[in-house]
Amino acid sequence: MVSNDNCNEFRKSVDEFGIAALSASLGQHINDCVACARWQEENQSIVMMVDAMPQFDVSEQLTQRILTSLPRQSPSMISSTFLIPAAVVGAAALGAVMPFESIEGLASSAVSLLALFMIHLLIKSARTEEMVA
Amino acid sequence: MSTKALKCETLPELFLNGLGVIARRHLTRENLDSATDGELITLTLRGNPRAYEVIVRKYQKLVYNVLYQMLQNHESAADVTQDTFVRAFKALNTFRLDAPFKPWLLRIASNSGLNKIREGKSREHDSLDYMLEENAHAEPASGQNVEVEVEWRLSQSMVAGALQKLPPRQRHIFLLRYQQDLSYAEIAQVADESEASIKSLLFRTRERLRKMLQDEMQVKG
Repeated sequence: MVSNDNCNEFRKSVDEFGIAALSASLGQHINDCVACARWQEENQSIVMMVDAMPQFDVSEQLTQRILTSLPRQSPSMISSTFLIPAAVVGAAALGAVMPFESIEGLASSAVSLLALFMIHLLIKSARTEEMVA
Repeated sequence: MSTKALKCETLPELFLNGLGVIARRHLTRENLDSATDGELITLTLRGNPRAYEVIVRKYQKLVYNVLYQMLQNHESAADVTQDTFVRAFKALNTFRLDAPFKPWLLRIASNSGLNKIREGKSREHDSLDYMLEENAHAEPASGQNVEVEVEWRLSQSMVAGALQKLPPRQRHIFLLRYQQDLSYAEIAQVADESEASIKSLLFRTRERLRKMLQDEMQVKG
């Protein structure tokens, strides 16, 4: 039970700022109040015991389990996987409305699209680098 | 590892810098251990698998121990640790590179752990004796004195028992502060609450624990 306003103020201040940061008058309170001295001692014991509670090391087996369970694609590739079916559908639609006269024409268009895609990736890499910097 | 600041205005400049980025992606592998979290995440997003391994090795012990304290079972903690790192990997492209990574990761771990508790899928709790037996750091500083050691172990067993009686979320936040030494700001991010409410909750938890321990001491006479 907190006996008076001083006790309340003392406990709130200790909780907020720590005992070392108390004003002289509040710091003196712990010498005059048995209840608050005991409160402080019990709190310190609890914190010390919790700090010393089990901390387990992780086995290499678990590390390997985590690493092997990760998706093979990078996260940015995962998020853009929906683009692949969209690109296939888009290409099919393009082929339907613009019939190519020869296989060379088709190959030429495919190479151009591939080159544009590579340039897009390179520009994206440079922009990411800028964001990190 | 340092990342060079680039100021690109035109498409050809961006193209050439992109080539440079690809070259650096392969040159920096040896320096991964000294990279910051932000740099490791960027490299992971660019497809460097070693970068995420460094992140896993850096944070796995913290995540595992936080989850163990939530679930009180090694097998469940291992399962949810694995799940946490897989979820974090998949969500990595939503992470803001200027934000601290640890609270973000612990938030994923906390949510996964709390879900596991809600679903009631956590296996049997490990006994307190087992927890303390396995604890290499539980020895008192003056371990030579048997009487002191017995008293220490009894007290620690009482504290561990009292912690288990707390609601999972309250225990989780209390341990983040006093076992894992997270700051109020970090805990606020993990729990998605204000710092003021975290401080208030910690104060209430400590008072509750103190009361529980006092009662137990009175019962034991």
